[in-house]
Amino acid sequence: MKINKIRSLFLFFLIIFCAANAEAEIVKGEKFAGEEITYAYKLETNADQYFLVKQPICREMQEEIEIYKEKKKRVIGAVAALATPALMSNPYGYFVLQKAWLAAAGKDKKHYGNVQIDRIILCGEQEPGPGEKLIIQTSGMKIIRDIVTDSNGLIDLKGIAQKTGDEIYFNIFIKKEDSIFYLSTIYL
Amino acid sequence: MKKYISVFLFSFLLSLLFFTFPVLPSYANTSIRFACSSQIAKAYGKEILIDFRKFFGIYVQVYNGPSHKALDRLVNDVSDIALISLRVPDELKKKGYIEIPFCQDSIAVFTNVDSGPGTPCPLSNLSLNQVRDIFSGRLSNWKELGGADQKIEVIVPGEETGAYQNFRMTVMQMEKIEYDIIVDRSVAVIEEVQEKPGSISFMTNGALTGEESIKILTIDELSPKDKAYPFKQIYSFVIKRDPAPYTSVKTMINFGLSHYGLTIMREKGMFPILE
Repeated sequence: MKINKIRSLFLFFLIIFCAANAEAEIVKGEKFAGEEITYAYKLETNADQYFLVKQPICREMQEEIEIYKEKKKRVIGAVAALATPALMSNPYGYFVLQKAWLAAAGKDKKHYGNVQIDRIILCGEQEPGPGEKLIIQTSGMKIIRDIVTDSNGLIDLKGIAQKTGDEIYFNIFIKKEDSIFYLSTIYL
Repeated sequence: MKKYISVFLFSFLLSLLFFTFPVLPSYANTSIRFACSSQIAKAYGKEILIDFRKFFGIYVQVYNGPSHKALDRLVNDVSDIALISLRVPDELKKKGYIEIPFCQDSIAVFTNVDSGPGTPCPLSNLSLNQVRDIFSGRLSNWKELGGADQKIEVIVPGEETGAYQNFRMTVMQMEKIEYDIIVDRSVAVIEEVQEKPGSISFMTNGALTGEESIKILTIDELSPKDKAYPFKQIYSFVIKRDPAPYTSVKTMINFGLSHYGLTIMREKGMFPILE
């Protein structure tokens, strides 16, 4: 009766072991720049002149490798596992067992994929930002909305100064669709 | 036996803390010390900072308190960026402190839904003069305004808060405010008014969104959500110097000015300044 129970239990575990999905391990690989989303902007100075420059920003991606064992080899592994108690009682059993386990190990199979990381990064070369609409906010809270950079990305500070009074600084923003980006503050 | 159980429990809790503490390598390198006015924090809600951290991987250490303390923390180098409802003095601007005003919000006057125990507040509008009379102590009973025979309990935020100073400047035109209860944090007036029938107070309108048991009054038939409503305060980012491009400070400002930030402003009845 007791032996029957043990036999049933072994059989049950064997079925569970063989029916189980192949073990898979997910390994994170290299991070890299994905597709370009938009540009990041900044101001650069050259001989008291301010230029708008832009650089693409991308969504960061990461390689994801799924490693799993072949299922056929897992059957050998199950038999080896079941034979372990008997073999371990034999002085040479350990060596036999080692060989059986090596055979059961199987070859790794790898599946490569990429996942998107919820981060954005700078990518690509920096270039001038011509024809961009700027918003200027003075230290006294005046707002000027009709400033556009020229073909080299140059900002007409003299034109802005003519439209404002005695100010401490200008906050410079760029308007893109429904977002506004703070670029820099120019002290006068 | 008890000793062993205690040791086991202690080790278990310690290991639980160790294994469940969020180890997020991308957040480890970048952090930002953010000092924010309590009323602005309440108006925007906690979600915006959670989303900011999630999207940019920047860890935010937040201080919430009165605007002037938030500004002090920036000046004393305890914070990297402040978000306040007071204007920055020119002396600080000349020293390199940059004020970036970006949002306007109305200062709403609100009452408990009841003007007395079990008596609903019949008012939905006050004239500007009536508001000034209530907060200067000249009007002290709801009966004089058509309500129950119940004392008007005036609750105000601390005198150093942006809400108090802006209300005194714009609504009261610098007249002294007489009050029954004063609370240290501006947003605490909401809870006080919710608990006390017959009470009245003021607060930035965005912070009142979704609050129950209160009634927001119109002033001279203008709702705080109307652009023409005359009593507004301005929210500004303040930073120490022009930050280098792509720093976490700049990222935070741009997050506030992004489509996401502008959408929150509009949803809460606030008015973007720069668009």
